[in-house]
Amino acid sequence: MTRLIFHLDMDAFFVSVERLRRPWLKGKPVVVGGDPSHRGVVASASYEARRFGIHSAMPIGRAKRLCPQCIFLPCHFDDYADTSAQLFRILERFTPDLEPLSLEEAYMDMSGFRWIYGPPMETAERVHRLIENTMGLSSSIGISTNKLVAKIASAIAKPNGILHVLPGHERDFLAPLPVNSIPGVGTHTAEKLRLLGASTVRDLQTIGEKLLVSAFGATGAWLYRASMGEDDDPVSPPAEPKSVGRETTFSEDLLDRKRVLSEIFSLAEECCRALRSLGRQAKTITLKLRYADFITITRSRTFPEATDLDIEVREIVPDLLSKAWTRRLRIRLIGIRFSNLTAAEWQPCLSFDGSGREKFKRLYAALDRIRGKYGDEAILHGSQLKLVAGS
Amino acid sequence: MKLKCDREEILQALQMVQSIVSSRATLPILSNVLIEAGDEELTLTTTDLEVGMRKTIKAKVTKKGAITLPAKRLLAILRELPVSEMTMEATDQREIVIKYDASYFRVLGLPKDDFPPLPDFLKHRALKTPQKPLSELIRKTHYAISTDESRYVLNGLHLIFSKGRITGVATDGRRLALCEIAANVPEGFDRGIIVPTKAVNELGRILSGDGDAEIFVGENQAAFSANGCTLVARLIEGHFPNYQQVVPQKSEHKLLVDREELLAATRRVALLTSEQSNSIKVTLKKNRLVASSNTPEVGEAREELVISYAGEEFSIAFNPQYLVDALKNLDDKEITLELTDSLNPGVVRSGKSFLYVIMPIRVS
Repeated sequence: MTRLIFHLDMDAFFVSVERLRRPWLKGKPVVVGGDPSHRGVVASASYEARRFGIHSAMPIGRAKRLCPQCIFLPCHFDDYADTSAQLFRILERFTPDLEPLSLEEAYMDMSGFRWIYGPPMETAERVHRLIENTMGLSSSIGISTNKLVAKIASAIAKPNGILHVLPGHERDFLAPLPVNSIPGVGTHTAEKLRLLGASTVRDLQTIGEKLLVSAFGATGAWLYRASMGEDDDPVSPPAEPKSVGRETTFSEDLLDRKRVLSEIFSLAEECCRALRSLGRQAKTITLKLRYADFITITRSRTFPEATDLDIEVREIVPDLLSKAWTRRLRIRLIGIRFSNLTAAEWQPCLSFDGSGREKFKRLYAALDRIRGKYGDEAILHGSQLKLVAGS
Repeated sequence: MKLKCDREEILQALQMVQSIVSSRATLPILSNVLIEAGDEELTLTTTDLEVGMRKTIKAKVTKKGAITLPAKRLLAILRELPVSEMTMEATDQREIVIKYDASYFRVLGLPKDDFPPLPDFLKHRALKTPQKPLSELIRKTHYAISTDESRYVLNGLHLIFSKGRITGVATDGRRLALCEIAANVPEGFDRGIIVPTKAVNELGRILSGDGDAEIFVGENQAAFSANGCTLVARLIEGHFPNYQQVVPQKSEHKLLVDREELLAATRRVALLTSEQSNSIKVTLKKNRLVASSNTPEVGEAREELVISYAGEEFSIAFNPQYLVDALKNLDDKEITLELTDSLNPGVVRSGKSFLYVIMPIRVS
């Protein structure tokens, strides 16, 4: 059966969310990400900013040089996550086969819905309109018989457009496009292809599978199929998370153990909160530490019983840091990851230490509610106060 | 050493003590059984340094002496001998000859001096108590002992001697079994000890009659004596967790349930669980207890028991094995099942002396 796949991508998502809160940003070059005086990369750039050559993942410093009059904003991930949740609630109304790629991007398998929704183009328009009317945000949708072509189509439809590649026309649609429009073909592969004399997808189609395989091995076979617009990868709803983690690069490399510890504590607290909202507990914690010279160390520890309680994590973290931080060198990045998560069904332990654990469970549930209502910094552990005041 | 003895009797004694011998003994001598011939008796001793066992039988000793022999090999020989009586004679410190009719076995062993001695407990005061209740206490609690070596204090049975009674407690941190028996505990004997799993299992084997058992407790070892057999165990050091803490003070619902019915229903429903989804759901409805399981790609099962219940309908999930372990080791016709909600521990009571606490499985 011919499939019907939508690829929906929000236009300059982070910037658009910022603009919802600050309408005066409309029409101006805006960049979201990092802090321009320090380090960090562009997370999202408005179309006005893109005209100056700014793009995602570009160092902030360079973006500032390219466009000094650009407005730089720090990331407000909580806002983006909330808006994203709202977006996915809309998309879920159209199909259960939904595969999120990020906060702002998803594949939707719409196969077999024609009799409910009508022609694909009209359905896409309905999705598009609903997002615009309820959220005030613009999006782009690519429609095709598979994920690959749908994604390429939405990129071409941008901004604020819908593009339907009709069944059977995938190959012709792709032919004039540059090779790097195929997701997965990066600068490296593109350069190798250029040496083979291939700059457009049509060139790939002409070179043929045999030559591509001899040059790239298994990747070559995939490249050829992609160039022909063939892809049978199913739209797969997200799997259960295997781990929960957070990491942060410091604005300056740190040598102060107390400061590093409280940074780890705040990451750990975030993770614990994420675990609680997932309804999972973790058995293993891994601390990742990157020195100023980019050498990276990880150290893991297993809890006696799976946990999602900050207090139990706090007990373990100082020791873990001592085990990992053995060189007298500044630290550039730290990360915390919780893995070995309990299944949806799990056997808790009897509580021999009185109701201690139960008390903490209730305490953190209350803290989560307060933070949910009044923001992450509404209530803090004492050691975290300095971090917030300092930033 | 020279003696004459009954094959059947020495075989039984050896079968009793040889289970201490580890197939992966750390020292060669620990694979051996110590054989000591005294006045009209023969004593067999084995040890793995943690647990030791000694059994004495009658024999016609013509020359006293001692030697150690490979326990498993000796057992195999005794099993195969076609006679009821035989002689054993040590030809030197490390060699013995077993003779019957015109046949003989010459078996090489090790001198007795290398054998680690079992501590002598006779100087300690003994607690005398009937074997039967003690054996029941072990049967009703031993299965709950933890096998997880990371919490070593739980790798044994906690025995508490107090005025007029002995309490046994075992837990693996997820369920806890407690059994109390009446006992004539002498003054000054009050204390709690943790007997390691292996010793508990051996103790269960040696308790087998109507007579009394004797318990001796030393600094870090304890001995149990019954039917001519003595078990010596190194105790687990450390504090057993405060088990009273996990016993719910009160439960919302108390149900009288037919033990065998619940056991059989649990076993059947458990047939449709899997390793990934190893829980059964117990639902209380008006005058009904429903045990059910539902496992993706396996199937579902449902059993109903008639009980007397008038409260709100609710469900709780348990590891079926935990229920089966307790129910199958009890004797009473009816047990009391005490539940509060789906998150709080459930309690099984049988008579006044048995209590079992199970942490339910969380299903999110």
